[in-house]
Amino acid sequence: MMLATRFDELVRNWEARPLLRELGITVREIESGRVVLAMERNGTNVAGVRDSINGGVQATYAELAAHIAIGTLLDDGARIDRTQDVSVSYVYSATSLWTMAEAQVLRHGRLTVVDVDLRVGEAGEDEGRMNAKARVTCALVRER
Amino acid sequence: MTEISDPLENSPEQAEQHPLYQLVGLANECTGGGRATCEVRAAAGETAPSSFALTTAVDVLVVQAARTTVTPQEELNGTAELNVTYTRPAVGTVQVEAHEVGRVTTMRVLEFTVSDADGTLAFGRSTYAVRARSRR
Repeated sequence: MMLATRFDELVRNWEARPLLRELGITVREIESGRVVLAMERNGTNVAGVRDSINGGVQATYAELAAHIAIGTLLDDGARIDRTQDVSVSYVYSATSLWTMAEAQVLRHGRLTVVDVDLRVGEAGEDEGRMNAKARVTCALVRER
Repeated sequence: MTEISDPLENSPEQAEQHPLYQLVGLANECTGGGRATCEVRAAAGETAPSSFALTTAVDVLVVQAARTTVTPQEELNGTAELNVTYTRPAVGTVQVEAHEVGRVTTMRVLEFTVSDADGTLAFGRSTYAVRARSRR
């Protein structure tokens, strides 16, 4: 399958999931080993102190971004078995309308490591300011 | 955008009505004395909660446990660090337990475990920031 077509299908499959819809997450950019997602504030994801995006939602957002980035590298028969580790350092309260997640695969193998940055998304003086830094490790398996 | 209050400011019964609780299947929350427990149920059409749901649920529960440790002169200031390790996928309804293991003026350190009928499937640690309550 052509790469662009495969990525289109990957994006369609992820964006159709209720979890992404409920959290207001869409895919903005996708290429081999890298994705950029956007999350809009809504009545579900705003559940943190002082009207911020909930820290757990940010962690899940990073985990989702990592899974989608890994998905761009999976060949036939390979799949993500499970998330193994999620580590998040929260840097700055996520109160902007848009929060972007950029995920970059650092190592691709049976244990795949992904670096994820969450940043302020909309234009303004805080644009690009880091909300959180995450590292996600996933275990991959190959179907026989 | 709809203005909503922090669901964690409310009672467990009220919090369970928050869309985030419903999205991740968090229910039967119980808190007190630096400890919190809850159940996480599978989403419709699923047989067990996903790690995506559990990652959110553990942070929510850590906040609830941390909330029970703050004094009237303090207020919660957000999660500072969250580390979760999964050893296997969940089977059926899951229980999450979080408890305080250390504290200093500006933070609480909490550990948590996630288990199902077959035992522990995930564990981790979180650091939660606390600050002096601002005068109004």
